[in-house]
Amino acid sequence: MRESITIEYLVHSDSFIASCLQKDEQAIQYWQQQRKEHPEHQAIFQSAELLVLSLYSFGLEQEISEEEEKLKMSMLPPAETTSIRIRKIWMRMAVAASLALLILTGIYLFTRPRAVSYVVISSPAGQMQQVTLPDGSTAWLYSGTSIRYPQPFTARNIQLLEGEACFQVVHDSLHPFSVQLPSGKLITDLGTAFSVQSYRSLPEERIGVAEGSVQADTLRVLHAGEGIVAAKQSGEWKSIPYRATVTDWTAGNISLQDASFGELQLVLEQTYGLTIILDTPGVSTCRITTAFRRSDSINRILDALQLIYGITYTIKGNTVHLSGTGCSN
Amino acid sequence: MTKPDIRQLWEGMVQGDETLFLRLFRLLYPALQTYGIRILPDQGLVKDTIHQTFLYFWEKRNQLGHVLQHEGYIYTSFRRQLLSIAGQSDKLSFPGDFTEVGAEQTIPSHEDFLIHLNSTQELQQVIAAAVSRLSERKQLFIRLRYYEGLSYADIAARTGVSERTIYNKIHEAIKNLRRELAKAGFPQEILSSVQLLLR
Repeated sequence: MRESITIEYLVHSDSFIASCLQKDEQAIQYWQQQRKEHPEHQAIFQSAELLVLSLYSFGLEQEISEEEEKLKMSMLPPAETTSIRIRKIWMRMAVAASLALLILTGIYLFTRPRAVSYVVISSPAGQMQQVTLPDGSTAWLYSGTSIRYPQPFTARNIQLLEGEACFQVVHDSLHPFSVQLPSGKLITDLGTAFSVQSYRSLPEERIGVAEGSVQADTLRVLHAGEGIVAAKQSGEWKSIPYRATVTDWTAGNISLQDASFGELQLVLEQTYGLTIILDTPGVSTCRITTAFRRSDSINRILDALQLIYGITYTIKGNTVHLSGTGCSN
Repeated sequence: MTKPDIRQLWEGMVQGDETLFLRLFRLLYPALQTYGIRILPDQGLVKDTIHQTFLYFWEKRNQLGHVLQHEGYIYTSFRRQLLSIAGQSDKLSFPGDFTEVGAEQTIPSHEDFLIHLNSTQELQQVIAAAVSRLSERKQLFIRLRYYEGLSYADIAARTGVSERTIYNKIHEAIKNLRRELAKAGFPQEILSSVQLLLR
């Protein structure tokens, strides 16, 4: 062997890659021989192989997801394919369980024939709340989210006023748990962990199921891994995948999948209490796929955006200026 | 991949459950992909054939209730479809059932490869998260290089980018990867193996 054996050399070698992927008999034999002759480099061989295989499976996973989308599109009956094509945009956010301080922003009394009082829970901008509801169910409120529920909580009906919330429901078939969205849609639990989202500043509402299933108004029953995005105005809707799990909610990961720039802006503003200004409007043409943790600094996230989308930034106090040439593809 | 899983998902499909059907698709994709590529080394054709095979299952699901050997049936359908698409192509080679008994075999079966692949899962997840933050272009290069196993020259021909640039991009990507792994607080022993890359 002419070149010394380093991981760097190996991961750039055609024949080493071919042997890891088991594509070429000669390569496999050659590298088996090399391993025998250089037992002192065993760790290097193993690490390099691990790396190649991990990168291979990244490609494989990416292909599977693309192919699944393609298959789904082919499965749709022709009539449905004409419905609006909202791209799958997913915003998931979650709270570290330790942030348990909840703020009761108010108790409203309604002087109707049967007086019902409501408890309103809001999470302030930049903070997320994990809340235990009176029936023992858990709610996660993303930053800038408000919900309200009747007191006493005998009819388990929650109203989402603004924002995004996830629920892990203690199931009780005699007392169904439901969430009403600002558009009037009623999401009824069938034994479940699910998420609902409706921001005033975004034109769509979203529902996603992590476990079990829900009845999403009159639209359809959603099972784990499924979601819906519905236009508030026209009421048109489309099924989309939902990839978050309850663990994701508690782990504090935020991930955007093919999100509009408006959504990214909203998430960053809400999470970090910032104002974001676009110095070049072209930047808003980018659709964003990224993932970060709540504990990440804003600089780190902006660094990633710079790396991926060429968006440059400057921070002045609480204001972030973004600029870039945009994403024309 | 366990047989009861496949049976359950298959039966779900027969009853028209879209979610279970897609799960079956995801579950079997890696195996069919690695199997297919050994019969016909053409990534694109193999991909299309998996798609067509599953679309066929979905459309004919009402007539597939009688199938008992689910896995065998899936493989056979897939192989037939692949062979008929490939036509008389001389690229064909026949793995598994066509191998002579006793012949010395250095290429392990596609199942062995999958088992081997599964043993790296922990690192895979971290790397997948890190790679998915790279630019689309770098992701594409990584995929062509390490998933499709193309040479720098092949990638250059396919993308119209110079070999040197591709090499640099991949090198840069692996550098970023190392940084990501460090930030993710990945165990030192695995991290240090990746760190060696950049010495």
